[in-house]
Amino acid sequence: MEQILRQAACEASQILMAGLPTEEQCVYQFSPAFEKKMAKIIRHNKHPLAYRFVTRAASILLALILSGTAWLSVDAEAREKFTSWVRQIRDTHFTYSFSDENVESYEVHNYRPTLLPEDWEEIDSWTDEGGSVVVYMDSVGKVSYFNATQSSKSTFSVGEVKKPVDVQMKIGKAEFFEGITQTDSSVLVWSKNNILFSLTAQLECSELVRIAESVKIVK
Amino acid sequence: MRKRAVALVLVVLLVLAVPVQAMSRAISFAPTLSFSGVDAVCVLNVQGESGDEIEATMTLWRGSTRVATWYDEGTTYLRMREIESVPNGYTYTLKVDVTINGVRYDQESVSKYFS
Repeated sequence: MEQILRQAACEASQILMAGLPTEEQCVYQFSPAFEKKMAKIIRHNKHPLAYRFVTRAASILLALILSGTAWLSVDAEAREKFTSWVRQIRDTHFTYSFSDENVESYEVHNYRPTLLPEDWEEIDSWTDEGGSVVVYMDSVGKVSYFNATQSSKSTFSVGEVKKPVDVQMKIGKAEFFEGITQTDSSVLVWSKNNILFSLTAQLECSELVRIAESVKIVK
Repeated sequence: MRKRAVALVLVVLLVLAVPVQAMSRAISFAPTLSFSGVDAVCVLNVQGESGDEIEATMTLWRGSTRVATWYDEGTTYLRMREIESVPNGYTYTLKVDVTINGVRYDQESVSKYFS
């Protein structure tokens, strides 16, 4: 019985096969998408190592970009390494502007130097959209200024001074612009948390640094 | 003849240099442009030394169209803060011209997009 069934199945198969069209009669146009997919699979199979390398490199790059973005978004100090104040030289003065105008402005708190020369008296101060300014006057009527300038919305220019000299302070690097004559004020400029600070006074560099290092948020 | 000409040029240069040296003083100025509601807020702080005569002009531009101009003057330091209602969707530029004791400084500007 089993033998008869096997033979019948074989005959049925041959009849069915005979009813099918030949290869030459089968003209089928594959879709471009299918052709593209097949070409990609063929390419992958021809160069398996190269494709594995590219995939891994792309994964590592993506991971680095994502982790770097997350790091920069939470760490203000790290962010400062990538965005900062840039100094440009003009014919009549030096100008600081922020390197990335798309960065949101940082809030300028009520910063004040806490160690001042004994004869300095605060005669004026204000905070506006550009930052905060404090004006001091000494016993002989000389004025001095402390500025905290916000990033991205402002520029800050210094003129009538000698070329800047780099100064290392306890709180970071600064640039010292010496007055052209001994009776002119000098300017110390530094940045922290993307805020540009400056101190303008008729003092030696070391004294300006001492005052700058004492700057704190005052409530 | 050549020696005389050189000497004359040197004297002229010396004469020109003396007033510049005499006017040398540390100065600083900071223009700021920001937006609040429908207003552009234009701020300029100029800081000179005691007794300096300061003149400043702020001009707000939308592309090549001048929106507003303000002028002020003061002694030792000068603070300007002006507000102008402006339409959004444009980039605005605040240009400032500062003159201290008759010395005019290169124009500075700050640009911002008002979204």
